[in-house]
Amino acid sequence: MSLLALAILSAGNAITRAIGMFVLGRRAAVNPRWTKLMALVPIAVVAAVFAVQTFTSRDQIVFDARVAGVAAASIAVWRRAPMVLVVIVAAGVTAGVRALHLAG
Amino acid sequence: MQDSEAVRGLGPADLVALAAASMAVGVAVSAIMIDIGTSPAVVMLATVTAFSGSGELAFAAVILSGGSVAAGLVSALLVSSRFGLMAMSIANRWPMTVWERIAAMQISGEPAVAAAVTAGDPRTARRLYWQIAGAMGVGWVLGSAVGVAVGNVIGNTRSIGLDAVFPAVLLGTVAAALRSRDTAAAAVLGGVIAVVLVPFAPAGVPFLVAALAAIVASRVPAGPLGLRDLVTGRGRRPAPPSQQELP
Repeated sequence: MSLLALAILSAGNAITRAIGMFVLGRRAAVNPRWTKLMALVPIAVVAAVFAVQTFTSRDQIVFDARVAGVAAASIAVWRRAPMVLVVIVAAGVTAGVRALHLAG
Repeated sequence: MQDSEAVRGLGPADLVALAAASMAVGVAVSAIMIDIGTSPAVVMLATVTAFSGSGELAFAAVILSGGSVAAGLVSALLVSSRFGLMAMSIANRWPMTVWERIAAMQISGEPAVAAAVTAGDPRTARRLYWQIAGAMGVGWVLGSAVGVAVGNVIGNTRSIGLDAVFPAVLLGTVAAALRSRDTAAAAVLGGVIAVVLVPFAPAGVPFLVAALAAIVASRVPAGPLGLRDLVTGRGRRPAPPSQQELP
């Protein structure tokens, strides 16, 4: 990546973020009907990122060791374990499943 | 929604775990950026100014598959476009000065935003946001420096299960929100839309389309969603009027 390419990427990212923070976010503040929508957008996007990171690889839908790791971590979340344990369980189970060649 | 019990507070160990996971990603991403011929100075600059590991990976993936720099940039910008939605989501969560807004939008990441939007009150939202974003930001920059200086010391991040850590963290931060019908609808619909689109849409686009799930979910009335409700069918309905009128 050249310095010029980096400048374009950084500027583009900053513009996207600023539109969200200063334009769309402000509009939501003055329109109460948007309040509920604004609360639900991040939930939908975070769930989308979660699902894509768990069930896809590049441009394919894939069920591999991550699914086992995330499933185990979800039990830790459900049992209200601290975040450090959630992280260790997710990494440990995923690594374990791969080490045993149970899944890719 | 007004329920922050999933993130009841993060202790030092939790923050170190988040920073360590983020650091490992930083090492891997920066090592790849060096591999595709980026100068160390530009990689370190990118860590702070672009502040998007997924964007850098998208760029590297296009270059490695023989694509042009322009195509790589389009892909990186699309993948990073969801951070605009992230910034929008926290814009009104707590009172912010312009400088705090600029800092918050620059280092926004899904775990911090998820914790902030599901926190019960603005003060908690602000504290959780800066704790999580701060820990992950510090880890990211440190990891990137390690990746640039000594290369990929982590080795294959898949072999240590790192690719399952971030989805697990996201689950941990939004879990409380899933107990309401409207938020659960937004989450399930958003997740399904994104995964189904992955084989067809350019990288990054599935996240933007998934955001539209919020429009559908906003028509779902809020209310508790729990196994107990499903089993007994009672939920938290108000008591019958006759009982309420008793002294």
